[in-house]
Amino acid sequence: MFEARLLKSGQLKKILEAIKELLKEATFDCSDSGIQLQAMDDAHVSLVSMYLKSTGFDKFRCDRNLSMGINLESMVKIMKCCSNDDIMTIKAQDNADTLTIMFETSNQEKMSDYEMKLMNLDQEHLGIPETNYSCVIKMPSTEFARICRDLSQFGESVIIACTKDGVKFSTSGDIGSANVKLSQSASIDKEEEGVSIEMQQAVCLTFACRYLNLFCKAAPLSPQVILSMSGDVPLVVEYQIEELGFIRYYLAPKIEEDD
Amino acid sequence: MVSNITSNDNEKVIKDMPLVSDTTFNSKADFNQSPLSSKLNNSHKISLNVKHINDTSDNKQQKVTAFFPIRRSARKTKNIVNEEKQIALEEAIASQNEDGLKITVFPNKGRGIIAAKDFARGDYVVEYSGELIYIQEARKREAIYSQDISTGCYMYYFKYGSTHYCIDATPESSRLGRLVNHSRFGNLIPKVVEVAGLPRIVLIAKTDIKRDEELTYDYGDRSKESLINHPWLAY
Repeated sequence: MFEARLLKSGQLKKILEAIKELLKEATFDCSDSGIQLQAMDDAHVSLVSMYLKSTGFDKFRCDRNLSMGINLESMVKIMKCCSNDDIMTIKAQDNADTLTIMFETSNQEKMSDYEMKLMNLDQEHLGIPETNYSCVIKMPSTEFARICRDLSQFGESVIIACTKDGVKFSTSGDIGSANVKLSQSASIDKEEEGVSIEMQQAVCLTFACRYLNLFCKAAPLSPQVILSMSGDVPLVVEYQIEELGFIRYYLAPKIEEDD
Repeated sequence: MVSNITSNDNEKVIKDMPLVSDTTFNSKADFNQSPLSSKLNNSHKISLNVKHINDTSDNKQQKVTAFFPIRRSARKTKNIVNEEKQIALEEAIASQNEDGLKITVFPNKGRGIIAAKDFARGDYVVEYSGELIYIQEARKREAIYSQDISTGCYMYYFKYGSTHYCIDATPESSRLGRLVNHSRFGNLIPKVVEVAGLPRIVLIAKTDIKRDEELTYDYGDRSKESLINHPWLAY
């Protein structure tokens, strides 16, 4: 039997908003330690890795490891039926082919439950090696979303260059070119409001704007985004979900053009 | 006058200026035009380039699978494991492989089989091969065999499904399964394997077996009559 109770259903709503455009369906792997999800988009260019730890839930019980294949669109429909402050409970029997989602208002005057069919998904799992990234950039998630949105007007790919001076996002296209340069914040009151760069080695990689924009849908989950880069490996865009876990997006770089 | 001159000068200047400015403007325009056209060309080129990128975007865009290996779970379901075991056993039986076994003559109990190599627990060791017969036939034969004391006991009775069978390995053959001796605490365990719809008996290592250990299994016969005829069955 699997049962997980979340005091703020809005959190799961935001998580689904953050992945539903990349993934049509995904397998939620439930175990003692929590819920994990790993899936690639159809083009196999990006990878979503999500982990919600059991201790982040109000109540969490998972007797046997369970893999639930979920159509995310259907789940989004169900999640639209609740308000953000509702208490949410997800339940499934050990060998069930359905998932039950229950919402109760905080004053417990309204209870609703929804049952959703599960799917058997045959998805490939990727082994992600432990990597010491050459550059780790922390910045406000809204700032990153803004930069991605702005630059995507100009070109399809964005070059992210990280040096000791700062990080530069640049692109060029039909109408011209655009550059945004961020330097490390001198003094920060709150850590998540500033830009911080840890760098061992300068890195310059090219990525598809479209995917970065899709990753930015996770911005409501966390005030801060962490970008990790190393030469010729996928970029990691990580959003920490407070007290619950994280979502990481991996994006394969584009092969740089010879100018 | 002075003012006139200055005005004239100014006029001159003004008259001149437009010319100059015109020319400069024109030259600028010209200067601009050529780069503009080249720029246009450039932008055209850029757009072509972009199109080119578009066309080859799939080539330029790498995939995450190129960086992270696909992890194939080594875990198998119980059914698959059992199927694999069954197939391995069937193959072993079909191969009639009797490697790693050696006939040895023991002073007190006659022939026996010792291991010529190490076997791990669960390994297939040898088939108890002989003629598969029904129990009625076996009883008849047993009656005949019992008249001749020199005949050993090579009848393996067992039940498979709801049918009682017997494997009669009494006639001398080159197969070694029939020569494995009895021990109540043997290191082999018999197992029925169905091959092509018929049951076969194989001996499986019950524990890890070291080289040169004698191979034995429990014949399981504890009936009074058998014990009288074959007192060693008690050990």
